[in-house]
Amino acid sequence: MVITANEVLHPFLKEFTGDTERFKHPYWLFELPHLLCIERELNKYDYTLSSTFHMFLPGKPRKARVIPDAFTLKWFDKTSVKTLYPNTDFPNALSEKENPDRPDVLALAAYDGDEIAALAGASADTDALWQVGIDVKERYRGHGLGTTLVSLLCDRIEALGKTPFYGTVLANLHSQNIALNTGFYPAWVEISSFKKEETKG
Amino acid sequence: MIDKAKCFTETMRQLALEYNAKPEDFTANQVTATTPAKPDGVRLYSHELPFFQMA
Repeated sequence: MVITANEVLHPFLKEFTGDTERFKHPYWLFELPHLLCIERELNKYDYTLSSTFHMFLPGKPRKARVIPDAFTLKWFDKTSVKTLYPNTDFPNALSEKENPDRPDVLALAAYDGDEIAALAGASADTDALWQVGIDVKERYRGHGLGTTLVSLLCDRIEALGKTPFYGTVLANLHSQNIALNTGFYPAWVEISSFKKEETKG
Repeated sequence: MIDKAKCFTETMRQLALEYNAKPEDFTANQVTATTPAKPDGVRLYSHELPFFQMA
């Protein structure tokens, strides 16, 4: 377990995390009562905690997936993906607009006629680690589109020599199930903080 | 099929860069506290140094 924090927090963190009775296992820090203690300390500096992010890495064989007959697939590379901007319908799959810090580099859409029913996208968060996101429009859920698109996208990412990773939030069980059904396993959990006037996570 | 162990090792190396820590700190049964740094190669979700971040 690692915490990186501004120096002003270190005396608190030393005392709080040094309670070995309370933290027999360091990961207990992520339990809500303990996060609330951290939250109270952050509030003194006008910071607040983000959501917890539950991160997945690939580690299991991926089943071959076939798109249902009613849909057609279209790939987008780092150039053609820009035709999808400004993006508001698929916030998990793609950035809203071009983002040089984490460029969208690959996407796969399932079309129902001319309409995109679902979109999986990958951003190059680092050169080697590409984060995968998926959005399925509400009326198209229940067809397995999310699992199929993520699976095909990850196959392509790995074929390019990159590592896909997947992140979601605690209560999004549907998203977590897509991760588990596409060969990912839970690898780590992260939480961060932001100034109270900002709106994040 | 991706190499699971290699993938995990490389990801911990990436997190270590971002948390100013060592890869083994993430799997140790203790809490390691560091001061923030933002060297080249980190994932950029913000341009500011983290005030508090835990993994």
